[in-house]
Amino acid sequence: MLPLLQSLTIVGMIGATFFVYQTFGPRQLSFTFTKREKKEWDELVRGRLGSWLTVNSIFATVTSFATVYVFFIGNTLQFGWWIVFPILTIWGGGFITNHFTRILVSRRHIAKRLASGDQSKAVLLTLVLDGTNESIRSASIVRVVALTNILAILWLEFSVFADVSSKLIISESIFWGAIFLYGFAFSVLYFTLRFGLRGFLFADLFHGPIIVIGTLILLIGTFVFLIGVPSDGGHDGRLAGLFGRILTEMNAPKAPAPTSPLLSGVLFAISCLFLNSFLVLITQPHWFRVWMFGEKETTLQVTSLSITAVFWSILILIGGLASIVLSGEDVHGACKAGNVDGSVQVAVCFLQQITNGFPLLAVAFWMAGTGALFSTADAQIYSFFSIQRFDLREGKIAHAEFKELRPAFYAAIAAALFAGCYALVRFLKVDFDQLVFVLLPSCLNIVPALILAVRGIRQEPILLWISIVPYAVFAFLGLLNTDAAPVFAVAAPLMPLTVSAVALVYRPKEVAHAKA
Amino acid sequence: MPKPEAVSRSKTVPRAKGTPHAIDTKPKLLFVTPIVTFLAAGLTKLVPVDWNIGWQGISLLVGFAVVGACLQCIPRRSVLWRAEPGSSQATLKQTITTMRVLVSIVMVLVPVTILATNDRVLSALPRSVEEYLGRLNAETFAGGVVSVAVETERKRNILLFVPVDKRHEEPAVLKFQPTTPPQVLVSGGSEGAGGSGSRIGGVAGELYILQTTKVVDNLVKGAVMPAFRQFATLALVLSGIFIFVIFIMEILGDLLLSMQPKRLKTS
Repeated sequence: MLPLLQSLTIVGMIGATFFVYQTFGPRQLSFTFTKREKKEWDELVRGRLGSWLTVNSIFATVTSFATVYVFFIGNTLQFGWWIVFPILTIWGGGFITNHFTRILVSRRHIAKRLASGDQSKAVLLTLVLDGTNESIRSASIVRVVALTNILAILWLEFSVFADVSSKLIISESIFWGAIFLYGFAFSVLYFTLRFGLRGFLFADLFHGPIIVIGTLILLIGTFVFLIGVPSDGGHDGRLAGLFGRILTEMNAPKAPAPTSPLLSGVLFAISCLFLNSFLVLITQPHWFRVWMFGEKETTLQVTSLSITAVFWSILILIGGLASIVLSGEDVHGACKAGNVDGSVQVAVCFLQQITNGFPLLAVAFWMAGTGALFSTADAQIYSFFSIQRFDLREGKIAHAEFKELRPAFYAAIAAALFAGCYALVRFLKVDFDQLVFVLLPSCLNIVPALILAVRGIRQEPILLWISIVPYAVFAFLGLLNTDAAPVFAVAAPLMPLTVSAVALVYRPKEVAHAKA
Repeated sequence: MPKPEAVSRSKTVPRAKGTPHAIDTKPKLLFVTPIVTFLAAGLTKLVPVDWNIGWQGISLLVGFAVVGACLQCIPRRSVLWRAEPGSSQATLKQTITTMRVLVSIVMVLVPVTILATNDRVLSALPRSVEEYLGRLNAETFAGGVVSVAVETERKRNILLFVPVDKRHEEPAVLKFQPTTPPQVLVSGGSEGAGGSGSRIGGVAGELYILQTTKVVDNLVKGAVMPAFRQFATLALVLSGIFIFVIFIMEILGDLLLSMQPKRLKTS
């Protein structure tokens, strides 16, 4: 019965998204907007609709399934109070994003490009391009980093989604996980490529509220579940008692055995500080929004990220409740707090426990989860094609025609590759949490190039290599099955942080020569 | 002569911005559905008829009424669209209409089914099953077998006709409940001596006669009704999601369509 309810919810959400995509009518000739369409668009988003679209897009794009939804629910137990850092840093990141965006937009050549109405000028790579050969080389490195990051995030999203759903609906086997992943990835990729590539901003208008509503139902339902269940340890199970227990769980983080909670927490905090400060700025959807919404993107940035921070706090609260649920007397075996390993497993065990009493909480979880998956995936897919088809010499998106996209072909190939990678990762027993720590921050390797662009000085491709190579080494070490792996995984983002600091004070030779 | 409403719907002139909607963009007639559902929810408690549907049933009815009211509150801007046959607007308009109809059908069918699952109906069901079993011609139903040979199988449940208060025959189910696990005697083992090959030993247990009415009652209330309520709630949630989609389609579709005349003008 429960598997059927969950399956129907996921299928229902995919169907609903398909109808939202239908609102934009048939496919146009090209997935980019023409200058005339941009003009009409400017009129459309001038009012309150534009504000709604901006806020929803920022919130829904940042709130992904794997790196936010499951991560917070599953990792509150491990990090304790350190888990609050992502919230503080994503909120603070709003100010940093605005600061750098305003500087970049104030540069004459960038302002001119953005005002031209040509969507190619909103591609992230144009920020690095300044007409020199060095900038083209830097842009080509940035392109590889950005595309790798997008593919990694997409794969991670689908993998965690398939992993949680297959474990809850059918079985824990790798085979079923891979089958589920293929099905989900193909559906989402195909629908987005076929119908919704240009409409990802509108789709966020649907997914944003659904994520919030589903999560609130899950929160209230978990409270009701816990209040109705006699708790152990002398607590009486009332609301105040529950909050007391959450605080107790937060005070005693349970880091993996060889890692000290303090070290793990400090590294996590530093990693979050750097990642969340630049996360919005260095991702493609932000620059599309700057092009599409103009001033609204910066004026509503902090508001949107404040809403995001509040929402993430709710997820942390659910994570706290999850650790209470799993420490209950009736929980045994691999699901017992202390035995359970990894955020995915925590989420699965938590859902298994609460849906025994309240099956419809699974419906709420999948409502929000599918919304989070779609909202991140469609923006990333659009960004992928825009960056991949960007001609560095010409400085514009080439081959943007829909007829060259072949949705079924691309969706089938990508889904098969994703499923193969998933099977390999499960076979090698690599933890998804470590993958989140390693794959998500890979986009930070773009920051040194962006800082040089902000400073308005010549690009230096070597700085990017100095950032990327150590990052890759640390990331690899972070994925190995060793005791120190979590430390390496969390420390990997510190490499681009260091190089970015160098880029902040770096002086090109000719500038020094000119001054002399 | 066509009604004024029909004329205004068939007009091809695009609606001027800011003009109040003269026609039924918020039709009052369809409000009947949520109102009736609200009334039904109230009546189940107020009217002194034994049709209690439980607090879950009441909650579901109220939920459907709220969601139904939301559906009716969405302005029907798509009826004003000047859509060429075969165009994307026509497809969208058709999709919105179809979705409205489908959601409305769910909004009516599920509450009616909820009301149909009141205590009176549920309590009548076991008796009906019992009567049906009583009317069965055992001779022909069982393919001419008039009696069942009871063997040493312990998992078989047998339908018996047990007299109640010495007047009527009431159908019941005979349930064998073993009290000790079956013992397997093995040749040459410590427990068996001199036997050839293995055989199943005696099975100790108790025979219970389960009244069919109770069996059906437990089945309906313990398994069928919880499953039905779960699906009804799922239907409520999905209806809510699709109503939200209809809202987006109506509002955004209208906004996107409003850009079209300008596009024609500029081109």
